[in-house]
Amino acid sequence: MANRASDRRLQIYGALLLLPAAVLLGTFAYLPTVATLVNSLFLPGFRGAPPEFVGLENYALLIEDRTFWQVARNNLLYALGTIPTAIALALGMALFVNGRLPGRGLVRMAYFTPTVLPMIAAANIWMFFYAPQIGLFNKLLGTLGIAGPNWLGDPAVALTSVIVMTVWKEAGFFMIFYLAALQSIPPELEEAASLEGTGRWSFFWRVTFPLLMPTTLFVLINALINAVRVVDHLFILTKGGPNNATNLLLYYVYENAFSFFDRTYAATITVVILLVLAVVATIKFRVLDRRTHYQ
Amino acid sequence: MSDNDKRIRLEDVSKLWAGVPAVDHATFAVAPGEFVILLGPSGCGKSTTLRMIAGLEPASGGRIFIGERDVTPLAPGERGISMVFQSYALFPHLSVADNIVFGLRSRKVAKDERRERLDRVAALVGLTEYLARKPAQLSGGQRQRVALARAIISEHPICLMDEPLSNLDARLRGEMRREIKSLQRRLGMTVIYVTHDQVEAMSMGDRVILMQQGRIIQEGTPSELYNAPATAFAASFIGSPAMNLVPLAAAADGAVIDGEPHCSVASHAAKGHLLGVRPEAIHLAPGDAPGVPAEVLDAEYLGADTIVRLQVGSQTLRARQPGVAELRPGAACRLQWAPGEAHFFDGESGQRLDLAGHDVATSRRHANPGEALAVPFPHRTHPPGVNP
Repeated sequence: MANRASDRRLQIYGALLLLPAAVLLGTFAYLPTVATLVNSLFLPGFRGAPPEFVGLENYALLIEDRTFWQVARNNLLYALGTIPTAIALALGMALFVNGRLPGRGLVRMAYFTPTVLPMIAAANIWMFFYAPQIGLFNKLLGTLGIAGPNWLGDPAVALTSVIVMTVWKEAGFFMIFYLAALQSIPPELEEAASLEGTGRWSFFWRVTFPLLMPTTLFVLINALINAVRVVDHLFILTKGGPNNATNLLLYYVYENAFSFFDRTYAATITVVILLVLAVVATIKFRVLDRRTHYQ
Repeated sequence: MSDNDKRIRLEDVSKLWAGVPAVDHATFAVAPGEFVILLGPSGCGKSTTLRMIAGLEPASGGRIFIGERDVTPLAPGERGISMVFQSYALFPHLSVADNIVFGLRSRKVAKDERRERLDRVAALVGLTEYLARKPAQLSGGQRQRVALARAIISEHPICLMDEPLSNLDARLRGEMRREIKSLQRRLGMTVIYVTHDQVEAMSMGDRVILMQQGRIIQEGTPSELYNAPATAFAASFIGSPAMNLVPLAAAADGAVIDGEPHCSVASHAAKGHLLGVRPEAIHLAPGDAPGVPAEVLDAEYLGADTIVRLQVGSQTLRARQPGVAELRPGAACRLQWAPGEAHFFDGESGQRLDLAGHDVATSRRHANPGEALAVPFPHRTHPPGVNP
């Protein structure tokens, strides 16, 4: 009996230790998620009327909404355009600054600078790069006699412009993770391989890259989350325009909630985003985890 | 493969780190099939020497030859050597089998031959049942075997080993020592083996190269290093417990151990220099016997023998006695050793001196220490205690 009592006390003790984190997570993560889910089943009440329960009507509306599909497509293109490029670039930069290099600290810092800059500030800088007449890019192109496009104003180019800026911003951030992972690989591995006449390229694909898999997985999930989390630079650069050409999911949620005051529709889109993210993350972990070696 | 490919020669090889020599004009040769030990305390340049032979570290000066080839400018992969690292350097994401054949794949050896060589080598080191495992699922000894297998399978005539046993526990270390040695003999490999452990050096090496502060201090068979150390450092580094090294002072009838003026242990020429006597060469005699008077400080019982610490004058000496020593702390006794067991080293440079010791056991004049200075000591000549 005494044993059982002390067991219970231990359990209470453990639960109490978990409580602060659980309360914080519950209040700021799980409760809002559930509230969003509930909200998505209502229509907003106008002029003080209570919200009206409509079941899945919001979802039916969403499927009909051509803007939503355009925004979703934009976001897919944005993800496909930013994630692989940013990761490849990050890995390349990490490999470069991990080597013996004069002024290595300086180069590392330079690569990391875009990450340190607040998004709004970075977007402001890029505004000047992209400006049609006086912008840096078009000035440079002008000296070569090429008339540059309207980077942010032309619907055909605008999304690409946003993608380029995101890659510039994200690559340095991911580089830090790769750099940390590279430094945890013992140098003897490369020495042992070089004694057997293994080339650098072969060593990279057979040893370095597989050993970086946990980092790649982590970065991949993060990049995905970042890709649907974009609000701030759209705010500065394009406001989702022209004609929704650069509108992305979260910005669309924001527009619905705070420009069109359709909170329940915004909640509906949010639920869909969460679902899609959950599914993709699960697939990534399932597929890549099997091929990933954790030390 | 001709035996000549297994020969290694270093000529005046140096390595400078920011102007400070880590290896200082090292010159030595290794014969085909020889097991050579690079021995020394940490920081003596032994690992750097090995890494220069491997090509992992460029030499700052001098030339390295493997066979007749000058390999100094060659990349590690072109030198035809394999290496076992202290940390084993196994690829953690690859199975044991993939780890072992890693180099064969780099060298584009055909799959069938890879398979066949893998089976042979795995059987040789006893890893056949573990081929599918990851290194993390192996014990330290098994990982060591994988590293060995990876070195053997390449069939390179030369294998370099950088403290390969230092991560193992004592019992396993003894076992692996024998295994490595027997593998080396069976395969006829030339091995250069770096260690700071004099036991490994003595038990495995055909020849030992002792280094200190980047310089080669002595080169010879284990017994040469043990019986005729070239410097006081060599004397103190080889043997366990270390050789007793005590300064000699002048007395009327010769050099005496500092603080113990009654029993001269060598001629006047030895004064100001160091006397070295191995603990196992000291015989403890009763207090009334001839010999150097001493007082027992304490005894450390090790099973097969006992290490007795003794106070002689102002110096402390250690003696190894078989079995249990029946000596109480504070007991008086006499120390005796054969004249050939006394080594002398220069007090300044530590270099070995060609001096002979007196026979402390047969000298009768210590029965009455009070008369010690009155009776002239008959000068005796002994053959030098060098190179028996």
